[in-house]
Formats: sequence, C-alpha cells, structure tokens
Amino acid sequence: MKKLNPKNIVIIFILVILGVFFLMPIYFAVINSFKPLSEIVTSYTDFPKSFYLGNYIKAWIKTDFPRVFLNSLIITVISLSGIILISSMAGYILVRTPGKLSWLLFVIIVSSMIIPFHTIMIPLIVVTRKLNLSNSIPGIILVYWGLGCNFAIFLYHGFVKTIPHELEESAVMDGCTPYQTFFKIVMPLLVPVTSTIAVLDALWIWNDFLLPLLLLQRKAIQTIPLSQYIFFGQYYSDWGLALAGLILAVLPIVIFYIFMQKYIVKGITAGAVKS
Amino acid sequence: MISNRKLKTGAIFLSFILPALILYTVFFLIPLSSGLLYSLTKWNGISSIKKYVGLNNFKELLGDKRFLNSLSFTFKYAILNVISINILAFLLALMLDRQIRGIGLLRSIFFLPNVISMIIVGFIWQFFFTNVIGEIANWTGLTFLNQSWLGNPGIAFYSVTLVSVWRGAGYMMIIYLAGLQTINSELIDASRIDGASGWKLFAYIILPLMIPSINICLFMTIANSFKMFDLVFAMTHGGPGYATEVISLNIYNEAFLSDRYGYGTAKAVVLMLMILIITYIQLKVLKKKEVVL
Repeated sequence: MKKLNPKNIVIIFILVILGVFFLMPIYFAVINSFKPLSEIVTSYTDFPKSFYLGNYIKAWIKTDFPRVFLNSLIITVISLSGIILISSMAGYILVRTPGKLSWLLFVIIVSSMIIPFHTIMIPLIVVTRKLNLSNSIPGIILVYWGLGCNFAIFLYHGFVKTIPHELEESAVMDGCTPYQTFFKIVMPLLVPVTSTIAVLDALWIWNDFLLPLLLLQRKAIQTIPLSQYIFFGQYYSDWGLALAGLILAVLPIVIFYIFMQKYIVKGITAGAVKS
Repeated sequence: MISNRKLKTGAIFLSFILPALILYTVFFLIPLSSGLLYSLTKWNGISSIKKYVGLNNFKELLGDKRFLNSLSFTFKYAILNVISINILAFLLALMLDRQIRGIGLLRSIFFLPNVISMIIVGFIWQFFFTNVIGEIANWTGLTFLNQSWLGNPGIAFYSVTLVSVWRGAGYMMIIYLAGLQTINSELIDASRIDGASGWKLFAYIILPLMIPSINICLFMTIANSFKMFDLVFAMTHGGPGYATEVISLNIYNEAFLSDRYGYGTAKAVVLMLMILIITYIQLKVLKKKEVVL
C-alpha cells in the first residue's frame, strides 16, 4: 500500500463523489421501499421514520417470490450445465478431429456469434410453438442450450488447442474409452474456461428478459425479471410496494455478486480477451 | 479392419458433436434460414397461408416512418452510448488503477449496476426520474433538474442513454483495468525518468498500449447498443409516442402486437445486415490499426 499523496487524495475524492452518484438511484429505491405509502407521498427523499416491512411482506406474497426465485434458479442452473456439457464436448472433438468438416462446422458456429437475437426471435417463436416448447421450463432450457452453445464452443475450442495431446494419448494407452478420457482427463483441465462461461452465461440467463417474455406466459413458471415486469405494471402507483418488489428481486444476484466478485471479474476479463 | 476403425471414430465424433449441433440447428440455424424466407412473405403468424410477396416488405420499409425513426434513434443512441461508456470507463479505470485502501470497494460500486437485470434497472430509474429528481431539484435549487425526464421526447433520449451508461460503464471499466494492469510498470518508470509525465505519459505510452483493450470495448459496446431492448421496454416502452423506440422494440411490436410476422422478420433481416456491415468495417479498421502498430 502506497502512502496517500495529494494527487491520490484528489482522485479518491472524485471517485467517492462519482460513487455517490452511482449509488443514488439505488439508495432512493431502498429507502422508499421501507416507507408506507402515506410517508412516501409526503417526501420521496426523506429517510424512513421507522423501518416499515409491510411492503416487503406484501411483495413477497404477491410476486410469489419463493416460486419465481426457484424458477429462475432451476432455469439458470440447468441451462448452464447443459451449455457447458454439450459445448465442451463439441469444442473438444472439433479440435481433436482435424479435417474439412470440423473446420466448416467451427466457421459456421463462430460466424453466427455476431447475429443478434432479435433477428431470429420471430421464427424462433414459431419453432417453439411447433415443437410444443412454449410455456414450459424444459422448453426454455432447451432453447438456452441451443442459443448459448456457439459462444461456449468458441471458447472451449480456443482452450483445447492449448492442451497437450500426450495426456489423452497415455490415457488411451491405459485403456480409457474416449468418453472416460474426456470426462476424467480433459474436463478437469478445462476448468478455467468453464468458470468463465459459467459466470458470463449465469449473468445472461438469470437477468434475461426477452426470451422469458416470449416463452413463459404462465404465471407459475415465470422468472424473476419477468414476474417483476408484470408486478411493477400492476402496482407502480403503489411505489413502496413496487420498490420492495424490485429490491427483493435484486437481492439474490447482489448477494451472489458480493461473494463471487473475484470470479466475475476474472470471467469478464477472460471472456473479453478471448473474443 | 481400417473401415471399422474409421466407422468407430466417426461414431465417436458424432456422439460428441451431435447434441450441440442438433440444438444449434433447431434453435438457431432453422430460425435464421426460415426468417430469411418469412421476410419475403405476408404472414400473420397464425394462418397456415404465407403469401409470397417478393421484396415488397423491404420496399415498404423505405417508407415506414416509424421504422426509420427507430433506426435513427438507435444510431443516435449507439453513438452517444459507445462514446460515453468508453470515456467514462477508461477514466474510471485510470483513476482506480492504484493501490490505496478502499479502492476495491469503489471498484465494486461502479460494477454493481451490471449484475442487476436491465428491466429492474429501468424501473429503479423510472422511479428516480419521475419522483425523486424533482424533489432534489426543489431543495437544492437546481431548477434545471425539474424536467419531464421521460415524458419529453428530446430529453427522454438522454435519460435512456444516461441509464445505459450507468449500467454499462462498470463492465468496460473491468476490461480497461485489466489492460492497464498488463502495462509493464518498469516501462512507466523508465519513461518518467526520461522526463515524460502527465499528459505526455498518457498520450505516448499508456494510450498506444491500451489499443487492444479499446478495440475490445468498442466492439462490445457497439454490438450491445444495437441489441438494446429491455431498458427502453421498462423505462419508456418506446414512448412518448414512438420517440424512444429502438429497432429491436420496433421489430417486437410489429410481430407480436401488429401480428405482421413477415414484415417484422424483414426488419430483423435489415438489422442483421446492418450489424454485419458495421462489424466488417470494424474488423477492417482494426486490422489497419494493428499494421500501424
């Protein structure tokens, strides 16, 4: 740690002021969520007189929070596991089976990464309707597998190239099947990329809004962002309640962020450098 | 024997690649190619008849004021957003790239908006713009803050961009910080000894070494700008009127509110072509820069 010189003091001062500006909207949302409506209407900026929890209790019940939380969790975790499994296998075999076919498949997969979701959105909905996948959690998970694998295959492909072949060869000599070799020898070596993909895709899927909006109409299967959208639309005149809903919705990911910050930062840097 | 072995490696290859390939084909390639076909039809999404209309949808686009408006809004937004995010993120990274107690906490604060879902970000700011800011204006006497931040078409553009910068800057800050940390500190010390300081040090040493990070961040922010949907959907729903309707929202409304699937996909195809062209130009420019270096 260096000593504080005058230049650093000025910089810290600027940063603290910017930090205060950054936190301001969140601060006001939090304090108002602890006020009954009568208190909010008299002033939006006053500190709450007492920490009124009624908004939170109501929001918890009305959004059916445990349920939407569980929906978000299930969708994120299973989508993520599937993306990691199918993409690591595909990325690995594309590198280890050099040839025109592998090259062509890789080029198609990578070049499609720049195509925005909105371009395929309309026909994708038609496909899910035809396959009877709309309005179901397994359905949206399958779609995430399909949409998430190109970026993940790209990252795995780049990483597998750096792994020496010898380890796998000796495993084969010892009588391992290709599957045993992959899951016992290769998968553990892929952990750095896997954690990058896990971080980036977890943030994407957990916070995704448009795909759930298009696919999950039934209330019982909605995710946190989607249920928040509907809840806020219904209660936005009752600010305390609406804000308590928002804060509740943000809490899981903020807690996750506080504990996983190091990995998130690493994941972002690694993901950015490779792409 | 040989063909048997070949068969076996072929089977193994397929078993590794097929799960991903099938899902990718069903949920990406098929929608992409059928989208190209839909864009040539008139179709409401439900009826079994898709009427082939050739390039009529694309001709109609040229005279579609609402679409053209969304196009120009998206471009304006993209330009302001990309510039503001990158300048702010770069400055933050420069200021944060030092070891002082408490600096980690500041870093976390600037990144925090990034983990919050865009939809929720939009609502938190909607509350701030419609209620809080007016009250702050009253007790600070900063009357210019007393605006219709989301109700006035001209101002709503800046409000939306401001929130987008607020959310996006932290992510790019992380990438710039990582870039700064790869710069050899001996190099900085050496140039200090040679008399470079302040602005010179920045312009001749730090900035050129940061070109790769800048490229990455420009690439990502441009792509994100053209894909923006959630924030506008939550904050203004495209309003007032259609003033803040981004392209993606315009496509969404066309297909799912007006039930014009054919016309909507034509717009989506135009969006894709635009992004392809922009990416192509970017790659060209980047290549040139790399040669210069």
